[in-house]
Amino acid sequence: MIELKLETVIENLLRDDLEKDKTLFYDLTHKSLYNYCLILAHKPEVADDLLHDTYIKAFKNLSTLLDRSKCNAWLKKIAKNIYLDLLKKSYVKNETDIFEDNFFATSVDDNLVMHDIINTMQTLSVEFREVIYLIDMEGVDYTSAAHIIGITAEAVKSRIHRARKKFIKNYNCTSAIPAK
Amino acid sequence: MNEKDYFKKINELNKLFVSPSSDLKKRVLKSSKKPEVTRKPQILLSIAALFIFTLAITAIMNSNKTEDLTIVKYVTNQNYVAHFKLEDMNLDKAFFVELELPENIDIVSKNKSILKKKNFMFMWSVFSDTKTVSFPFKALEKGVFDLQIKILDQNMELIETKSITLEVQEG
Repeated sequence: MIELKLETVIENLLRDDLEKDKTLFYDLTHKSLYNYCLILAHKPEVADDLLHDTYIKAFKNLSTLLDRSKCNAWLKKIAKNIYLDLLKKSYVKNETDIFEDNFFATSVDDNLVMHDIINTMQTLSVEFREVIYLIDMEGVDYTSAAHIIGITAEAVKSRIHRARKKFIKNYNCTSAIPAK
Repeated sequence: MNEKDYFKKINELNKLFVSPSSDLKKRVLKSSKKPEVTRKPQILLSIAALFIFTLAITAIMNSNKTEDLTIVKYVTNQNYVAHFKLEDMNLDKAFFVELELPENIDIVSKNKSILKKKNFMFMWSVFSDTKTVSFPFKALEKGVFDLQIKILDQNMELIETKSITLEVQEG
């Protein structure tokens, strides 16, 4: 239903380019895209810039989107490319940084189990976090995930398998340490 | 934790992501606005178009006259080859070329490693028919870069200093 609505919004945007359609387009796509930007960039301020630049590029090149049902994957691919450009220019570091305090909703701190889950996510590399987010959290299919990440579907399958294994292993290690 | 718990917890984690601020939404929508074009009378537009056309023709004619115009060819991502002509110079022996590189331009050596040097010197043998000197470089961003080039003879005596412009575009 949302996909259908999004396709209509894209049609309207291409035809009339109205402010209200842009707002609608943003509203329908921003949450999942922002989460993906956070997964890539670690820091909310970098994710903000990434999201901003992605939309500017997307609005400019919307006419090149041939399969409108794959708009969300297309947006994520743009975000990934911009992120890689940022990496090249060394604006962001490709390291496992500590997530910012406001990465997740603040209520997480009250939940120790969820805290462990977040801590475990922190221990993973950006490649593993990305694939876990896309496949297990977003429910993106292997082909779309492969397109976004820029690897083959087989490599995605292998990577998600390794990422899950690593996550479970790291979780079992970190949660064994008693909380201070 | 086993695999079953993993999926349960990951799903819960998904609900906890924060949303971007409303300011960001405003920023995105503001930036995506196209600049408003005020409608001018048709005749003014025609005059403007004619003026731009004349300017463009003049620029093309001028560029053809410039012998040391630099053409930059896109090779692979960020790797370019610059060619500049030195037809107006009467050089018949091997000579040296010294480049003063601006920021964002790195010279690439033959084995494709990047030479981080502000001043780069290489020897160029007697001209071929094209009288064109080429050098590979890596540009970190697109744009127009001014480059100082010194032509030195075999005794390292300065023959001439030239200023060339590198226009780095995507191929």
